[in-house]
Amino acid sequence: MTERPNSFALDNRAELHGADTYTRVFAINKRTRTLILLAFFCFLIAAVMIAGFVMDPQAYGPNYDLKRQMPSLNHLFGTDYLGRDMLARTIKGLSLSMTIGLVASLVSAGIAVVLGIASATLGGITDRFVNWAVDLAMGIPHLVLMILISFMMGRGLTGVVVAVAITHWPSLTRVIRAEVLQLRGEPYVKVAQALGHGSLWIGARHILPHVLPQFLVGLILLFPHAILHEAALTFLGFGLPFDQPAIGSILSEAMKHLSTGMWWLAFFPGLSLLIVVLLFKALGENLALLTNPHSFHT
Amino acid sequence: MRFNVQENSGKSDGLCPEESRRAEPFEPMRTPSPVAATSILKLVNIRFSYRGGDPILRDVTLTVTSQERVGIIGPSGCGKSTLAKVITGFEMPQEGQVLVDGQVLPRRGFRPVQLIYQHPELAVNPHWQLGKTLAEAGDFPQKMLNKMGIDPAWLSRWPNELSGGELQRFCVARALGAQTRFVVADEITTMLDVITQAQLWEFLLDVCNRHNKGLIIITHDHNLARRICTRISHFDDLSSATDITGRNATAHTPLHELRE
Repeated sequence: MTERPNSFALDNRAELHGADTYTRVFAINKRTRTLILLAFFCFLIAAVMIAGFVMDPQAYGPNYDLKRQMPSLNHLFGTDYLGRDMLARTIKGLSLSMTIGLVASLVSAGIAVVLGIASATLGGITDRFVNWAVDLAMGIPHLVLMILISFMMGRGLTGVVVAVAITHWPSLTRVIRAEVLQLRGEPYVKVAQALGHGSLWIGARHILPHVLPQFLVGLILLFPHAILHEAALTFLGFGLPFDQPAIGSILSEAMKHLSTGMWWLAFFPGLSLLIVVLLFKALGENLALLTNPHSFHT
Repeated sequence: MRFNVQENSGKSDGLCPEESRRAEPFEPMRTPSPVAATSILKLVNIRFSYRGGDPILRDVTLTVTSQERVGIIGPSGCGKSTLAKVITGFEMPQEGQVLVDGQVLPRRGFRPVQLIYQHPELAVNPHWQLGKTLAEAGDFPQKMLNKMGIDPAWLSRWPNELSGGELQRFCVARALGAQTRFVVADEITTMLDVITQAQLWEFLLDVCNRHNKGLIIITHDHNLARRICTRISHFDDLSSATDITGRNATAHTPLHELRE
């Protein structure tokens, strides 16, 4: 009471001011919120991957005493016709699928960066060749191409990884090529040249930092594609063998038992796959938001 | 709402961190530059067209010494800005040469002829704080920045937090390194308010006079040209053979010197 000024008007203003500073101190701004979300998503994804790797094979092995159990507190996702715990299988499967997705999207994004930058900076015949290759790869139905590659590589883990890894680069290549082309025409890049900076200097300081966010976002958004395509390949029988609990093989196997009423075999793993894919998508989109200067510095 | 990553308002000198750590910034404006003698810029029969188009510049010839301030006035679309880009090496002419003291403009390394753009907001990297943009062109003494009206706090701002006039000061400063012999100003104050215009020109003329840098001023503004140029050339079309230093040019005593 004592510190309040006498005048009513002043008093009002002081309170307003107080409220303002209060919100400023305790409000979490958009950037921080996005960062917290990002950290949370990363944590979830990392947790699933690590859990899958360190899991005791016993956990997802058969247990003939507990066959065809409905979901319960002991077996949250139920058990299948061999008495295998579906929660453990799903986590193991997701972990494997995500590893494949990671390798595949890293390789694809790597190809995209090399081709995109080469095509934008070298121009001429390189540019035409890269564009032709992009059109070619985009022209063939994606799934058919992957089945072909996987089949040629003898299916299994190698087949799937190679097929998924070398078919996801075309769209990111286009994005990066366009980005670099546009940057090279920017006045500030030309000024940097006039100021005597070499192309390596300009590439490292001006162009790379601009392309990097695109690259990272593209990389992360490739992830769900890669996982889904791995699942699709395995589901169709051109990918991993059934004894390897990847999400595609789990779903493929579960399909056979749907008609016997074991809905949980397909429902929970399918739902988990969907959630993981959405998580990655949200991760990529939030990262895009975070790295775009126009969304933050205005 | 702003989402600044770095907290920068509290810094005393206002320079960005990497800047302030530097031991002894050398001062390009005060050290006598190695080429302080009068330089000559020559354009010899320049012919230029954009990819496959009709020539914009045909047989353009121009000679400017570093003591001159040449005004180039012409209607929109007559090739003024293209000329500016060719003079400064941003575009390569199909025929003819741009010579500074008899030397062809270097393709790599610092170009002694610097261009100041009409649109400063496009000429700075939007991802860089302005201190970094300035540091790209070398070190500038605090005194010079003060004179230009660059607030030390601006050095830690992002380009979209400053106005066009404020950004243009950075672009002008950036073009005035010690090695610069000629400055081509392509309508650099067209979109600024008159006070900022006056300040910018005042500064630019002062630096160019003291350090013997030539100025080529491209503008629509006759009054501006009359006030600051030692020579004014009018054009309708640069795509017919033109000798800028020849018959079109009017020798001229700038009003601003008359007054002094």
